[in-house]
Amino acid sequence: MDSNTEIEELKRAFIFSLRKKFPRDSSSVIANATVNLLRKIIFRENPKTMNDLQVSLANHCKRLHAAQRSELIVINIGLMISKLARDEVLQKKGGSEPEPLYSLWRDDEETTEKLKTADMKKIKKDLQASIKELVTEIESSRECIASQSTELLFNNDVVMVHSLATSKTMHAFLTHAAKAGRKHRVITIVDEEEQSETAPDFGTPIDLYEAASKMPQTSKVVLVAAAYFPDGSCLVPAGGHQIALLAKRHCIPVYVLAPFYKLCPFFMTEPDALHTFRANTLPFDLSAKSAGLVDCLNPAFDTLESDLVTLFVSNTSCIIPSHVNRLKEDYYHAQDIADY
Amino acid sequence: MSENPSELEKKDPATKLKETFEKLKNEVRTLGMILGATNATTPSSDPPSLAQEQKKTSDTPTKTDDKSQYHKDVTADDKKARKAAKAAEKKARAEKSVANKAAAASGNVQQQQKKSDQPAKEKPSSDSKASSTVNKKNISQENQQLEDVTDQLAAKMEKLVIEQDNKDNGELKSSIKKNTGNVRHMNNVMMPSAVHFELPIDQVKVVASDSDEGVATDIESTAITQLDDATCLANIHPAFLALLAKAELEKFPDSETACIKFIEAFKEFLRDWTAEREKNRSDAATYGHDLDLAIRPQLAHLTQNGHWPLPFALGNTVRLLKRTIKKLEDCTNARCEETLQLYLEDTLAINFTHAYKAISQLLIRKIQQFKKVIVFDWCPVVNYVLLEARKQIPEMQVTVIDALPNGRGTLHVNSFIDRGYSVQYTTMKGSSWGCRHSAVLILGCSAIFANGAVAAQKGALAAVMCANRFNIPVIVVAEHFKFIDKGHVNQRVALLGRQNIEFIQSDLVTAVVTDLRVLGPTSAPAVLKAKALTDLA
Repeated sequence: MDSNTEIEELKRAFIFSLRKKFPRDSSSVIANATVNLLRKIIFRENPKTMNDLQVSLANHCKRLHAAQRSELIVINIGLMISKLARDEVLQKKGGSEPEPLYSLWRDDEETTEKLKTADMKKIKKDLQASIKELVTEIESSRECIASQSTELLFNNDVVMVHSLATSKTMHAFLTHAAKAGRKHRVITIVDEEEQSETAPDFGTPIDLYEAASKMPQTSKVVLVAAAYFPDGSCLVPAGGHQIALLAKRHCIPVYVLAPFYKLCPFFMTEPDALHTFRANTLPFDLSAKSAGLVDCLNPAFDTLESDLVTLFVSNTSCIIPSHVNRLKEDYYHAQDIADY
Repeated sequence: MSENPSELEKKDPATKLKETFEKLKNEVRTLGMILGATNATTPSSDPPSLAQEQKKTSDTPTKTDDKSQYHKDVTADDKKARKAAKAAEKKARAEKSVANKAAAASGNVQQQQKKSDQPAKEKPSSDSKASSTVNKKNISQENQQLEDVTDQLAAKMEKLVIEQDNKDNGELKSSIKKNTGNVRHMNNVMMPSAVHFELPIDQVKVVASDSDEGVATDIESTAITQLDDATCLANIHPAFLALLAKAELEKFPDSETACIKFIEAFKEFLRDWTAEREKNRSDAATYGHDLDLAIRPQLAHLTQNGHWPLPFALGNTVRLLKRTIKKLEDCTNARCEETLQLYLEDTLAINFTHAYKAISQLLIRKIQQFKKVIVFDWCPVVNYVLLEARKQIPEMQVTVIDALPNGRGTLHVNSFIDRGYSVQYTTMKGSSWGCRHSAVLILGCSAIFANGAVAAQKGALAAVMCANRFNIPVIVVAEHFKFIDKGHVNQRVALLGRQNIEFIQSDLVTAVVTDLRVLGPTSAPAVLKAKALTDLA
C-alpha cells in the first residue's frame, strides 16, 4: 500500500511538473524525467515476473499519457524500458529472440510463457544498468544529432529553419555546423511572440507568411519533430506543413531532427486527437465584441506526411522515412506494442 | 573700377569692351602726341624710356582694365560672359602689342630721327602722326570687328541672363522649400538630390510637356527637383494632395479603396478644372487634349514621376480614363464635363457595386454545397460575397486565416460579428489545420496577369499549397479591371505603400470568378480582349 501511494505521489508530481512548466521543457528533459520516474516505480513495485513488469509499465504509461495527452514520449519511454527488460531476459536465457517470421508459424506459446514467468530478481541489476544506459543515450542524443550537421549542411547553403528559438537541438545543430567552418546563411521563421525573446543572432528572422517568397532562395529546410511515426509521417510545430509543401514545390530537401525517443510505435490514425491548441491573443477591444462568436484557433502541431520529409536525422544516423518502421524494431518489442 | 560690380554685371560686355577701346584709343593718341612732342624736344635716350613708360602706362590702364574686367567677370559668375571677356582681352592684348609695336616703331623712328635732327623733325612727327593715325586706323578697324563680335555675344548673353535668372530663382525656390517644412512632409519624399535616377522615356515626356513647369525644370531634368519645387506643388490639385495624405495616414487596406478614392478625387479635380476653363472661355474642341495634359503632372506627382507605379488595378482604370478623355468630342465645356462625370460614375458603379453583385451571384451558386469556407486576408469583394452567402446559407462556417496576428483579417471578423455571425480565426500557423477542415478556399487578389498568374498578398501561396494538399478547390475573385496585360512588382507602390505581393501560378488555382463569368485562370487573355484591356497606345 505504501509503495502504491508513493507511486501515485510520484506520478502526480511528474504530471504537475509537466503542466507547470511554461514554456514546455525540452523533450530530452521530459524523457529523462520519465525514465527516472519509471525507474523509481519499478524499484518500488518490484515486479516478480516479466509479465508483471510489462503490464504495470503499460498501465502507468496509459495513465500518464491520459493525463497529458500531448506527451507521447511517456509511452515511448515506457515501452522502451519494457523492451530492455525483455532483452535482458533473453540474454540471461541465452539464445536470441526468435525471428519474427519464424514465430508466425511456430508454436509461440511456449516462449511467451517462458518469458512471462521469467524471474525478475536475476535481471534487476542488469535492468537498472541498461536503464542508466538509456538515460545517457537520451542525454547524448543532442550532440549526436548536432554532429550530423556537417554532413548535411554545406558551404553557401541557405537554410530555412522553423522554431529555432524553442528547440535546443536545432540550435546545437546549426551552431555545430557554423563552428565546423561551414559558411551558410540561415533564415529563421519566427513567431511574433518569439521575436520578443532572444532571437538567435545568426539567423535572419522572417515571418511565416514571407516563407513562400523566400523559398526560391533557400536550398535546405530543417525542421524539428515533436514525434514521428512508423509510417514516416511526423508531427512538427504548427506552420511546418506549409513550409514543407513549399519546399516540395521547389524541390528543396527537408530534414527533420528527430531523436530516437520521439519515435512513436503506434500509427496515428486520428492526428486530430492529438492536436492541442494553445492560448490565443486577440486585442482587447476585439475580444470584447467577439465574445461567443469568434473561435480562435492556435494549433500546436502540424502533421507532415512522409512524402514531404527527405530525411529524419536521428542520433544514430539519418534515415529515410520508409525505414522508420524498421528502426522501431530496435527500440520496441512487437509483443509490447501488440499488448498495449 | 570705380563703378559698382552690380552695375557692371548688368552692363553688357559689349559696353565694357567699348569702354576699354575708348581708353585704348585715348592712350594711344596721347602716346602719339607724347612721342611727337618728345621727338621735338628730348634726346634719344628718353624716348625709348618714355616710350617704355608710355607702354607701361598704356599697359597699366589696359591691364587694370583687364584686371577689373576679370574681377567683374568672376563676380558675375557667367561663363559665356567670361569667354567673351577673354576674347576681348585677347583682342586688347593684340591691340596692346600692336600699340607696342607702333611705339617701338615710333621709337625707332625717333632713334633714326635723333641722328638727323632738325630737318627730320617734321618727318618723325609726321611719321609718328602718320603712325599714330595708322595705329588709329588699325584700332578702329579692329574695334569694328570687335563690336560685331560683341553684338553677337550680347544676343547670346540675353538668353543666358534668362537662364541665369531661372537658376537664381530656382535657388530661391529651393530656399523657400526648405523653409516651409510642412510642404515637404506632404510629399513624403526624402530623396537626396545627389541620387541619380534613370527616367523611362515616357516619363521624360511628362517632364518636357507644355505644362506650366516645363520651362523651369528644363535645365535640371531629374525628377526630384520637380517634386521639391514649391511652385510645382501648387499646381497639384488639393483633391490629389488630400488623396496622398489619406494614403499616408490611413493606409488604404486594399487597392479597391484606393481606386474608389482616386476616382472621387479625379471628379473633384474635373469639376474645378472645367470651372476654370469656363472662366477662361477656352475652346471646347481642345477639352480632351488639354485635360490630358493637365492630368499628367497630377499623376506624375502621385507616382513620384514613375518611381512608384500605380497599383495594378488603378493603372488599368487610369488608362481607360485617359482613353475616354482623348475621345471626347463635344460642343461645350459643360457637355464635355458632363460626359466625363457620367463616365466616372459608370466606372464606379460597374467596377465596384455591380461587379460585386455579379461575382457574388456567380460564386454563391458554386459554394452552396460547401458548408465550410476558408478565406485568406482581407479583400472587400470576398467580404461582400461571404456576407451575401451567409445570408443565403445559414449553416455556412467561415474560417479566416490572417497573415499577421490581428492583421487585416480582423476586418472580416469584425464584419461578421457586427451581424452576429460566428467565425473562426487563425493565424498563418493554423492554415494547414484550417484547410484540412474546410471545403473551399476563397481568395482575393491584386491582379491577374495574362498567363493566369494571380498576384495576391504575401502568405496566400502557403494557404493555396495547403488547400491543394487537401484537395480543396481554390477560387479567386477578381473584377474585370484587375486583369492586366503585363507588369512587374515594385517594392513601393503609389497610394498603397510597401507592396506585399506574391505570385500564385495558374496551376494551383481552380477557378477565377469575374463579373463576366467563372473561368479557369488560363483564360485570362479572353477577359483582356473582351474588355479591351490589352496594351494601349
